[in-house]
Amino acid sequence: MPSVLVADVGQEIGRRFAQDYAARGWTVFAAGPGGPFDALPNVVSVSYDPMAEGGADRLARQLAGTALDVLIVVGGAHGTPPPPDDTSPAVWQSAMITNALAPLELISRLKANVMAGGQKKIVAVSRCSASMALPGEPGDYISRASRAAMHQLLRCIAAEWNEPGCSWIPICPAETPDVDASVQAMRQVIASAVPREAMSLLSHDGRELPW
Amino acid sequence: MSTVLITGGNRGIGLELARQYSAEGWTVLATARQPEQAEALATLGAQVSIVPLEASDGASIQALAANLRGVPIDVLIANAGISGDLKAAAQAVSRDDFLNVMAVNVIGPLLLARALKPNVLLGQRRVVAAMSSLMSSISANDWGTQYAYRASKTALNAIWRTLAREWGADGLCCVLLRPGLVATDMTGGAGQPVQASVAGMRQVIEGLSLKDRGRLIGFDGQDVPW
Repeated sequence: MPSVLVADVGQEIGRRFAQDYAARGWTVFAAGPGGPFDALPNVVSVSYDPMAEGGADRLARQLAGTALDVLIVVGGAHGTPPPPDDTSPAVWQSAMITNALAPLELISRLKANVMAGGQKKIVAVSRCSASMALPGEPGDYISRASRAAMHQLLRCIAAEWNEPGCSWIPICPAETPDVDASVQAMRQVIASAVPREAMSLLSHDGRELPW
Repeated sequence: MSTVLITGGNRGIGLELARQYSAEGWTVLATARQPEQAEALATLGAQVSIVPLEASDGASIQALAANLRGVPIDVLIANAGISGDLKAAAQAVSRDDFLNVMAVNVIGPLLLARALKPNVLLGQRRVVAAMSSLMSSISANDWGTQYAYRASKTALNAIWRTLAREWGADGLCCVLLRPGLVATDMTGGAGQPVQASVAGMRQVIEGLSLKDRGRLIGFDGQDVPW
């Protein structure tokens, strides 16, 4: 069966992705700062704290030699969300790390794992509000900015790897409380994704969104 | 006479902005980290006031706002920026460098704009501009590199788009500027003369109206794709 790594499963979307893939028989590596996350069959819990310096390196060491068909990176800080217009250093640094830099760190450290997999799909879960062309929410500065930064970083690393067989999939969940439906829709988009010359931002149901 | 505030005014694009605006008779408030060492700015004449600012420091920004309380600002240009490590590959992007670039290029401009919003509301032109870059464009990024710098300018775009939407109702025009590749210390001398870039951006600013808010406009008047 194919394999997928989901980080961070401490986020609800990450957890639902892990559950969904596990229920379909995939080998799931569930990465997060809590855990263990191996209550389901086929789920292997791996330790990963996106905020910790060196967290991606430690995760990569745990997975050395393990092929990954799909890598799914879910950003988001833990704890009570701050007000959207909070620009205190602790808030913006946490958002920039968890939403932008940590995904880059993780993807860059797991290149060998992804290239050893059959599908070579790199998925970054974003938010529609990070699209410049779409209207943002008033006061939503840091979250929007950090996700937009992640889009740029993803584009950069795709260019650096220059691997035609890879599929790069920045995708936005549905704006709905039905997380399961959103995750299932995104999983179908991921399943049908094929390598493309130009990376696009996708909605949960596969529509191209403007950057 | 109109007043412009320019951050990072002691070199490169900021210095040329100060020079050209002052030559046109504007009152120029140019920030520098160490005003006593801002020798180039000091030669521009009495219309240029050098004010201290550490562009990424919230306390410094608040102190600036306190010093300027009640002073109308027609055009605010958040110009100060750093490049960070432009050559780092993905695995070599360090947290310190990434966060430092974000602090100067993204958070500082946001804090500055919010702190000086009352001053811009007192001005006539009501322009709040930030210095972006072609490197901010995701769709135009075909060759990668410059991780932290690119990401910071993309993040800046996102914030300015939000400000533009929020502050349009107050009559404030928040725009992003693209100077183009300019021959400065940051580029090692590569690029077009800074005079031409700044002249172009000044022309863009001069022609702005509220309907332009949220745009990323180049020195040549052309929009940059997101």
